[in-house]
Order: sequence, then structure tokens, then C-alpha cells
Amino acid sequence: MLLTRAACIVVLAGGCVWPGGDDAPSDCDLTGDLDAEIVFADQLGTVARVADQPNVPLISAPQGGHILLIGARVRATVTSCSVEVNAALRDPATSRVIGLEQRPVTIASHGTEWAGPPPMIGLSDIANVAVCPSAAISTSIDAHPYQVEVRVDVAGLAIAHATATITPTCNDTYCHMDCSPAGN
Amino acid sequence: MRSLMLVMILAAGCGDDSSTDPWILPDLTPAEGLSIRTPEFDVAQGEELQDCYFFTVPAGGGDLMVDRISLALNTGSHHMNVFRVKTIKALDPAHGEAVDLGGVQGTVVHGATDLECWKSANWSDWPLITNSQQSAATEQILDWNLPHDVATRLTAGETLMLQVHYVNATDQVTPFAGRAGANFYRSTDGDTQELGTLFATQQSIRVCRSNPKPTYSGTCAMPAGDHTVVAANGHFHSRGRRFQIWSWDGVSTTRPGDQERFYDSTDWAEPDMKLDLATSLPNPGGIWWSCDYQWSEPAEGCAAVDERDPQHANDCCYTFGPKVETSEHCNVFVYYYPKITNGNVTCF
Repeated sequence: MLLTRAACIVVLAGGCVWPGGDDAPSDCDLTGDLDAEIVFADQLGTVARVADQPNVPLISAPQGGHILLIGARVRATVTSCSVEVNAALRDPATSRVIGLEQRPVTIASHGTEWAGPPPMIGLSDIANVAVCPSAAISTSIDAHPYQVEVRVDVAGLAIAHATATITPTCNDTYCHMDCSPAGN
Repeated sequence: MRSLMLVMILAAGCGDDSSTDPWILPDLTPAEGLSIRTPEFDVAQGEELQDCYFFTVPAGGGDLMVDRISLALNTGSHHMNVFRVKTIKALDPAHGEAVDLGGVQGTVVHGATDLECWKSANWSDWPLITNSQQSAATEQILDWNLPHDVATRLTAGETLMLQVHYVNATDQVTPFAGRAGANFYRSTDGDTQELGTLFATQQSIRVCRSNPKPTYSGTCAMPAGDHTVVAANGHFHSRGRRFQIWSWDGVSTTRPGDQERFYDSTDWAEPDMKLDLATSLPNPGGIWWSCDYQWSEPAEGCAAVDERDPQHANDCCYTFGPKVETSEHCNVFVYYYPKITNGNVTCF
């Protein structure tokens, strides 16, 4: 949270413009097809790479249901950049998208060569992919492999794509029920 | 209250403004269907009320198949929704006080004294039956004749919740009093197809001073099968600028083209309720929807908005929530047939 606020202040002082709005900050001169890695957040807001931990927790959402918190980091050096992140969970057996969300988020390099969400985030700082309950599944989402796809856009143009196989994972019985075909 | 309303009407010009006329719905006999009437209630200046009324579908005559729905609201309502009660979490009909709903006995949980009536997680698995956001002075009644051969089922003995939200503040005004009514007309012509509903909401939205024009988009997948959308409406608050819904092929991760769009509304207070749709969704497929926002300075300043920001960003961010004045929504209501056989369609 403090990181987010600090980045916002720095960028505001620079007088930049967010692609999503006239007054919002950005130093996004990102173009092309950048390397990208998919990240996720757990219920505490801790961000990790799916490459390191493919078991991605299903989070009990404040509005009900269960969501995956999915984002991306791209190989770039930026102080702060407002991008659109589009994240989808796809059933590899049917190719159907079970859940998809697109939202504006801010990415920054945080002293590394990768620009992404800060190490600790709030729910609004990353895509909330609603996957449970779902009327479109034939097998449980919990503990089964699914494909996650992420696209990062700047000013309506894609700058990065990434795909990975993850295993959405419940940590309680209610989640397991909500994420089963009968949970709908 | 009625006498007070009459005095106010007279003071406003002896009733020369028809907008002050209260709505009237016919009271249905059991053979004709089911009528629900909330009591009239005050909505004080600066107040936002939400009440959750519970009642049971009469058990005597079997399931009630309904092919016409009339929903009525006094001016000033933000919404009324009717849900089927399923899992009871913290919002419990048994905790409500007894209320007469126009001859139907029920209970009411007042949001003013029980915050559970405001918390959507409490009805997260309660399927939507119908909704209205229409309370303009000249259009207080939403009268919906379902398509030929289509009816919605009210199961005998099941508990329903009628939720009513009123605002008398800056964004919306309730000039006299709040009141809601619903008529569910019994189908008598042997409709063979059941109406289904899709209810979806965007999670953890955020409309901030530093990012004043965000757009949030999502999808909601239907199970395999042929489904036709017959009605739809979107719901957000006063920062909402454009609400769009498209039919979606269920596999693409890019927004469908304009030709696939079947709903487009720029009116947040009285959003269009499209009742004349006949949109066949791809099989398998679903919907894609988006909400465009424009941040604006709260009339009462940012303190109340900042206070409810879970991230405490001090950026005057409207975040997800039911209060019109201080929070935002991005909810979609879609009505389709035939109803899926394996439950309900909810995405949140």
C-alpha cells in the first residue's frame, strides 16, 4: 500500500498522463511485444510468479464467490505505468474461458528489470478473475489444471502476452463446493 | 404519510403535476397470481435506505408459473431486486420483524439497523428472479410481458426476498415516500419454456481522482445449449457513464465487435431495461460486459469515500459498495430462455 501511494505521488509530480484518463499519471512509452511473466496474489496480497508456484489460491471475494488474483510483469524499466491487464482462465479440455476480467492497473519496476505490481497489493491492484461459481464447468476448478492467459495493453495496444498452466486451489470446504459443477 | 403526501401535492400546485400521483397496481387474486406491496416509508433528507423483505410463495396451488411481471416504485428508488432465498448466511429472514406485504405475511430486515441487508455476500447464491431500476415520476411501473411460451417459475413454498433501495440525497432524491410493489401474473396458456436469469458483478472496482476514467470489463459464461436473451439492464452509480453488454463466443479474450452488442446505456439513475430483445447467444457462449466511469468530486467531500476505501489510498476512490453516494457498482442483469437445467448463472 505504501509503495502504491509513493509511486502515485512520484508520478503525479512528474505531470504525466494515464491512458485511461486525462489526469492520470504514466510514463508508459512501452510498445512492441515485451517478455512477460504471469503473477498472482494470495489472500494476504503477497505477489508471486506462477512459474515458482503453480498452485494458485482461490480467494473468497468480498462480493461472494471465489476469484483468482492474476496479473503480469513485463520486462521493462518504468517508474510507474498505467496499463490494462486482461486475465482469463481457460479450460484446456474444452477451450472455453471460464472467467475473464480486464481492468486498469499500475505497474512499476521497483528497482528490477521487470515492471509489475508491487510485492504487496490490494484487491483492486490486480485482475479479479471470477471463476466460482461457474455454470460453464463440467469438472471442479479446485485442484485441476487450467490455463491462465494474460494480455497487457497500453492505450489499447497489446504490449505483452503470457500463458501458463496453473492449478487453482481451495483452502476450505465451502470453496471446494462453490468451485464444483454442483456449486452452481 | 398519505395525508402528508396530499398536502405536499396540493402545495405544489393542486395536483397539476401528474408526476405526484402514486402508482397503482391491481391486487391479484390467487387465481390471477401473487401481489406484494411494501408499506410506505419515509426517506429522510440525506438518507439512503435499503430494506430486505421476505415472503413465501403460497404453497396451496402448486408452482406459480408467471408470464407477466409488474414492478412498481415510488420516485426516488435506486433499485428493487427479487431473489430466491437459498443459503442463509448473516441475512436471516427469521431475524426480521413481521410485516404485512399487502395481504402476504412476511418479515423485513431494515438495513438501517441491520447492515447485513447491505452486504451482497449474504445473497451470493440467491438466484435473481427480477429487478427494476425504474422509478421516474412518469414511469413508476415496469410492466413486462414475457415472450410467447416463456414463463418464470415461483416454486410453491419457496422464500423470496424483495430488496428495495431508496436514496434522498445528492445523487438521487425521494420527493415523498418510498414504496414498492410487485405483481406476478399467473400464466394460463401452458407456457413450455422457463425463464432463466444471469446476474454478474465486477469485483473490487475502483474509481479514483488520480485515474478518473477507468473501464472494467468481464465475462460470464453460459453452459452449452441454445439460449436467447430477452431482457437486460445494467447497474452502476452516478460515476457510471456507459454500460454495455455483448454476446460473447465463450473463447475469445478480446471484446466482441459492435454488431454483437445488445445493450448500451448511458443513464445511471434510470438505466434502460431492454424488454424487447431476441438475442441468440453463441453455443457455447455467454456475455461480455463493461462499465465506463468518470470520477467526480463527492458533494460532501472525500472523507466518507476515503474512509471506506479498503486500501486507504487517500485518493478519493469510489470502491465497490451499495451506497449510491460513496461507492460504485458494475452489475449486470440478463434474462434468457430456456433456463439451464443445472442451476443458475451467476458470475462474481
